[in-house]
Amino acid sequence: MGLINIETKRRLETWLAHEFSAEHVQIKSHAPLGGGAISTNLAVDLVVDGGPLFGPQALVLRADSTARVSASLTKPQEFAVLNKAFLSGIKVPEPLAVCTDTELLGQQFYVMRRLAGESAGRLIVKANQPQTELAHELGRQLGLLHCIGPGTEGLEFLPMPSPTPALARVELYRKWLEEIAVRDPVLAFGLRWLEINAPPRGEIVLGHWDYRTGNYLIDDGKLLGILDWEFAGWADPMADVAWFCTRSWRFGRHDREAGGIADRSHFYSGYEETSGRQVDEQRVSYWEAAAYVRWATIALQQAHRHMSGADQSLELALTGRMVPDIELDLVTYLDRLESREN
Amino acid sequence: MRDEPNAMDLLEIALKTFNENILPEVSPEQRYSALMIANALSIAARELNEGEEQGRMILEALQTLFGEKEKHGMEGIALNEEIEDLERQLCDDIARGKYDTDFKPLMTCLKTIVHARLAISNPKLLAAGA
Repeated sequence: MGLINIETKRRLETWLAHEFSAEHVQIKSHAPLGGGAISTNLAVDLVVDGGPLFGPQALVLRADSTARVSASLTKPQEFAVLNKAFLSGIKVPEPLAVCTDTELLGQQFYVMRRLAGESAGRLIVKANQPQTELAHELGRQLGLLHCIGPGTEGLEFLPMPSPTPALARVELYRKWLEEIAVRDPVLAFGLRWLEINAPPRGEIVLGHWDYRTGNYLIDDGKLLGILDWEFAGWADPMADVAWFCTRSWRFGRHDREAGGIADRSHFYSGYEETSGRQVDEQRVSYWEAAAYVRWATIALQQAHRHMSGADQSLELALTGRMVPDIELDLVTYLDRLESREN
Repeated sequence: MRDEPNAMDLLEIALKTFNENILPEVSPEQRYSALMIANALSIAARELNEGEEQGRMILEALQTLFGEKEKHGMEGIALNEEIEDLERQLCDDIARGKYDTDFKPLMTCLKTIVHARLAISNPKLLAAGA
């Protein structure tokens, strides 16, 4: 049974009316949105009677899926981060209300405005010409996000990485992988390399941690909003820069290293413009290697969700069989880095 | 006695029928699921067909790295157990820093392992010259 059903619909309408200071809210339609491997996303169309949101409204309702990936924020935490991003002038869907009461729908959730536009990576990278302005704009938005630092009010719940962002990650991936780290030599080597090459602690900023093609919406080549904030947390700023540029998120357009849409230079220049910091190529290299280990780790977690029976799905099962693809990228990348240095 | 057609025969004909008769007819909404089904069946068929051969390639790469004498003719559970043992040993060596200063031989071994697994999971990637 879906989140919104005969039993919950009336309750949700009453709650929305209260949150929107409206006299009455009517849910006209609701339908699942694709692309939510970790969260459940519903497109919800409302008619609001009274209050500041008076009139028809197109929203997204975002709730935890049945089995949360261990890294991800709870929905109220994600709402807090999204709200901070929105108030900082970053292009995101406007967050509207959050519900911490699991009695209402069975899960915590929040609602935000629904933006029209395309997010499918394989379609976005199809453009004939490199999308240099889009890459520049995505760099600018990331730079704005990276102006948010530790000590920001409302984000106290985010843990501070220790002893350094890099080593905290190595430890985290070891923990997630559990016994896989001691029986998959490729990942064991990836983790060891990340450990001995870890850069010292530098600046720490609010990272998105899944900033990539596939997680933003565009319309007519223009950026509408950055999506999927569930992994956000304190980070080495170069971690997000690297994640955006890895092979994994180019959807086959390897001639356009920044997210399959343009050269890195356009993305980097936008980033430098708003962040006020230079892209550190050496750190980006480190975090690209870390990106492959991380993505393989996530893929294994996804497969485990299927294998454990928590969330049976063919898509999750096949994600497990993507691990060799990711490991090939990792091995090839490390080989190239080391040959360059020696 | 074993009934025929066997598992491999059944998978192959199921996949062929699916690709030829079902896939062209599915609605755009169902196409992604349909392609995933075809992919899963293909992987299963390759694993049944070539799993042992790829396993032996992995074993050989591990034995070369460890400087062990090759044990030929291993198959089935014994082959998998031998690979698992050596991979655990290798993970342990890596974590203890054995390859920190010179990992060329390790790299050769890891590449073979990844290639062998890709030959089952996604041979197109290997064909693309990656």
